[in-house]
Amino acid sequence: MDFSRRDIAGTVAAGTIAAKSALASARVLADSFRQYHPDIPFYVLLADEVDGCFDPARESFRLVRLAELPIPAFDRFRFHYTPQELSYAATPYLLTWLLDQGFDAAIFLKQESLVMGDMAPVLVELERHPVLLTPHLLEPPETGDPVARELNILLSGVYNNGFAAFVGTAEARCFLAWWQERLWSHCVRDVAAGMHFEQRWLDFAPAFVDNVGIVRDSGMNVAHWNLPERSAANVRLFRFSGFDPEHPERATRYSPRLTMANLGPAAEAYRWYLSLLEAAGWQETRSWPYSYGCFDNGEPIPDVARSILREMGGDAECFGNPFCTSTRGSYFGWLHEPVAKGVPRLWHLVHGTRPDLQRVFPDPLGKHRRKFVRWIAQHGRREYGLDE
Amino acid sequence: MNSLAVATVVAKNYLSFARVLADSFLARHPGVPFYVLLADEVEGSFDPACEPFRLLTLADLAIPQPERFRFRYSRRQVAVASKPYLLEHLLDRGFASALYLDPDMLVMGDLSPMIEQALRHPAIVTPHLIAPASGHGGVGRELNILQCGTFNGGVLGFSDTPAARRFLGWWRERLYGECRYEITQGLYYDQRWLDLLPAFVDGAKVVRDPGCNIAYWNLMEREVRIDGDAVLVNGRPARFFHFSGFDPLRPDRVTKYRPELATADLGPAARIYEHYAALINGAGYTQIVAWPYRYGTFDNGVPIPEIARQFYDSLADDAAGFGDPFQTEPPGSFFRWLNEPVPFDGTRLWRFIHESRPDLEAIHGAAFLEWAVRHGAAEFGIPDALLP
Repeated sequence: MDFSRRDIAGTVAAGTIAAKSALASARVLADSFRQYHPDIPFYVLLADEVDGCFDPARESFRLVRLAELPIPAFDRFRFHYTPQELSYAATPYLLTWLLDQGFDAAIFLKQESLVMGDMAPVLVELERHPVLLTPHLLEPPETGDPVARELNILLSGVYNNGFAAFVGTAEARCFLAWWQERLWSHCVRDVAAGMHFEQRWLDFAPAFVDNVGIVRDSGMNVAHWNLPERSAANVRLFRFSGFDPEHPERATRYSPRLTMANLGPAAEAYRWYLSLLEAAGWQETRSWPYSYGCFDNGEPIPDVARSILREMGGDAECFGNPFCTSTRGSYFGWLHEPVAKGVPRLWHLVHGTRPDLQRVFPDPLGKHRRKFVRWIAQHGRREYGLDE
Repeated sequence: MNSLAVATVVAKNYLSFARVLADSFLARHPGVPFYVLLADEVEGSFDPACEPFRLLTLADLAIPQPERFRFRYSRRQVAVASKPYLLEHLLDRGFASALYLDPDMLVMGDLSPMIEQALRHPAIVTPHLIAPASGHGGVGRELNILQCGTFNGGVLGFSDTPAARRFLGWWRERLYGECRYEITQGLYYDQRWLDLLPAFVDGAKVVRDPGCNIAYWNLMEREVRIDGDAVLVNGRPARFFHFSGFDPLRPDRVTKYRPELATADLGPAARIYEHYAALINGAGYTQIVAWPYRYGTFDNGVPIPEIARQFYDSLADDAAGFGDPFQTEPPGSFFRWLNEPVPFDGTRLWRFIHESRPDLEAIHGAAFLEWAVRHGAAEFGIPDALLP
């Protein structure tokens, strides 16, 4: 296999994942990638449905629909995750699908990124390694409470999934198959339990796969976690993780340590990225509704209903399609069934996850039922986003 | 191969383990110097000249403020936090590479391939798992590894290269302050920090030989076969076992960390555990295990409770004013300070205990002092000399 620059086209594909409200980010990433790598096809997996919001034929990337990927129990998968969890959990499914299309290697780039330089010197490493990963940090940080910054990386994963590349070898595919299986049900943020969405699982890659390539190019994955150690010059891939175009002055919602005011030369990249998002229509796309946000009767799905279903594991099968409300024995009906007067099962399950409620209403179906019912009406529905 | 040295660390109650490891290693590799760091003092318990290994003591290592280091950490923490000092010491002595092995290991085959890798690469580590955890509890076992660290801290090779030296210097600094069990913060003694090794050290090698570091956490994926004198693992020669958590007085149990695992259920590997128990007992275990830890008491013989070490640790640099914390006689000693009366809680030590226990928030004065004497003393292992 030859991944050298001349022959790279046709053997490699790249892709990202986005819900349609983030389509502007995907457009910016796809355009920037094409500028440096015009010969590598770029795919966008929509973790959502088009629903007439845009015309895929007029986009600069190739659209992949979630339904095209062989995801088992697909209805449960797209129900039991939040939009963010779903887009992260789909990563190994997209990579496997790209390899299944006949590409020799597949590159994943996370949506809120910008290609700012030629990545060929990195991609050429695919000739020698079946998997390429980029660490968050290439050396111990020296500023801004180094221990805290390192521990934060240990909790969220040594390797950043802003860039990952896999060659279609048996071993790499085996790793992707295992990663798919884990992410089908364990793509959540619970750092105490050892989970940080899709990312912490990547810590196993050098253990499970021989000869994983650790990309130590300082131009890759420049982001809030390694600024200011990285120079703003020679950037190949800039990651705007946690950047909100409505609050550009904050740079990232994940770290109060950095603001546009103290970013130094990197602030220029953030301003440029903002202008690209504007040109790509983020003001329009961000209001496009998420297609898996409601039951089929139009009732919004609260996040807690997603996690309850996920944690039920195989028992959740009995409900059939969880979006469906009209069938007997539906998940919707089960959640709304009262377990005591005025207390639907959903709220009893919420009570079970909340030590604060358990303290105030120790007996929610008996002695404290009335007060608990009042709490649901006055606070609970709003807290769980059910009042729209 | 003479330019490599091997070492382990024990307190003297673990000396029988070090003897068995040294004997088993030297039987295969008689030309390689084998060192044992005693994280303790000899105190006439044994004659170093009669041992199969070369003895090092904590005083040989460049540990700053050694009495504070020995006081603030428990016996186990002192041993593991000494590893980077030990490895640096061996490199300083002129060895091209230094290989650390945990004391509770048994060499059963030729280690030459791993020794060659240690000499060839700036650093080597072995993962807990080299393939996904199989079976029903696979996800749970993997998450447990993610909480404790991908690489096992029981096998570490470092060569005298600038990158390896830099890593050892950083790791040593981290362990001086942050060698704790606090998995929700990303800390698991010395081990979680090692996850950053492939990120910080170019060319760090992950050794994926199934014959290396066979232990309870990977036995399910390692098929052990005994064929005459030969022990095979997944069809390849067994090189060394790691009997983590094994109690020679309870040979029916594989490890104290998984009480449900019975040695009898291990299949052919059960014989190796039996063999190991016999070797440890033959090396004087029952007598040696009772040898007292030199840093377990104040200089007046009063045992140091764990909570007093934590209290001292929490004072950070403020603790410098006490001088040597083991000394009890000087007017400004830590011991006297702990025992000084304070209003309501009895003494300073007991106030610290009170503040560490939210469940005792509502108990004050006489009621707290009664709890302290009747329950607290036993719960926290507080000797009479430190009662309120």
